[in-house]
Amino acid sequence: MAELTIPAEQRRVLKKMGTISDDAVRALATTLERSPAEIPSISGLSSEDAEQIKNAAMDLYKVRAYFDMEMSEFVEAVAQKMQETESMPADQIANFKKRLTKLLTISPAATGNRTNIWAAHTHFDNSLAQHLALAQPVQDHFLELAKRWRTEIKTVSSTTDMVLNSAYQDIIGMGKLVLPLIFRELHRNGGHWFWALRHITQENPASPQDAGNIEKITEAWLRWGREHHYL
Amino acid sequence: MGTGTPLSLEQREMEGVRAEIKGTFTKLTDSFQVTSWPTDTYNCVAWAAGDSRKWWWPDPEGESFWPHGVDRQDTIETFIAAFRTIGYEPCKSHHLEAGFEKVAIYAIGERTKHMARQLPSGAWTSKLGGWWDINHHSIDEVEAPHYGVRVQILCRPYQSG
Repeated sequence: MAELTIPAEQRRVLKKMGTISDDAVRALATTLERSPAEIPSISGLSSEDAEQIKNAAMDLYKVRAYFDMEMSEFVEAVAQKMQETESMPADQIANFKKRLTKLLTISPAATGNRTNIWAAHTHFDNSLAQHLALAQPVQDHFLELAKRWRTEIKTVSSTTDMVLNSAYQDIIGMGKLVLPLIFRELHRNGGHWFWALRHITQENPASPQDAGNIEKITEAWLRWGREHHYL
Repeated sequence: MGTGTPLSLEQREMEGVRAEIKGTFTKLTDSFQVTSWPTDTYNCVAWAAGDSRKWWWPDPEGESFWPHGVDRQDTIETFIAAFRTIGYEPCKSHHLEAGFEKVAIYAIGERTKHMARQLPSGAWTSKLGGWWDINHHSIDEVEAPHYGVRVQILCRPYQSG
């Protein structure tokens, strides 16, 4: 089974889910099934909280689909992570699992429609990418390639040779999935990750005036990464 | 003239670093010195130009710094053109000459791979990619399979303090 690492922001939202009423959970599940693009209106829950929980559920739905996990196995894995990282008490864990199962269990009739609507919500892809990228096998593969790249280019001055390195190209080939890992690596250890970021995101937040100024380019990318929820 | 971060390492750590560098640049003699920490803020070309705040390279996508108006190709000619913008001209001798500072271009075929700068002592200083800065006694000591060989010397009237 793939090991899940749930980002801190998601854990905070999921923790809230363990405290809401059964009625609120049912209302959220209905929104997810019938009109996932809307912000659910639920008594006793602020619209911000309701939307965050809805988004978290949508993300987890996609993660489960990606790993092709059984519902009970997946819910158990998430609950275990919550217990480890958030010190969620055992009595809350049982409720948490019940609620998560409810939110992730969908009506077969609505699946096609909902999947299409969810797929259109590209905003959520970034946090989904965090779930996936932080899963251990992906993370291990990325770190191995990143280490190989750093070793092979340590004496290289040519930006072109640096980015044409096969390990670097393999990382680019992993696509959007590794963006959270690249941003984390850039944040922690620096490095010339800009070419990869530009090619994966098709964006370039760095100013042309800052060409060669690694500090400023790094700042621009980290700011972009935060704005797009990769960090 | 740019300066790297001052270095302070325990002797045992320094021995390890020196061994690793020597393993990569096998022509280095024991007199070479490690003079700053690894950093990817600047590279050998920037270091040769006296700039320790930017990464210089003529990458076609414009990510690295390159003097305005000079072609973004890694040929020896474009490196000569780039250094002309800061007063350097091709010259023949790599030996120390009073009143002149010199830089060297290393290449594999027509593709530039490295640059080094002569110190007032006559020794040379090289920034090894995103790795360490070193001082080396002879100009040829950093010739290596991945850096190629010295192909051009450039010089200009001395401008450093």
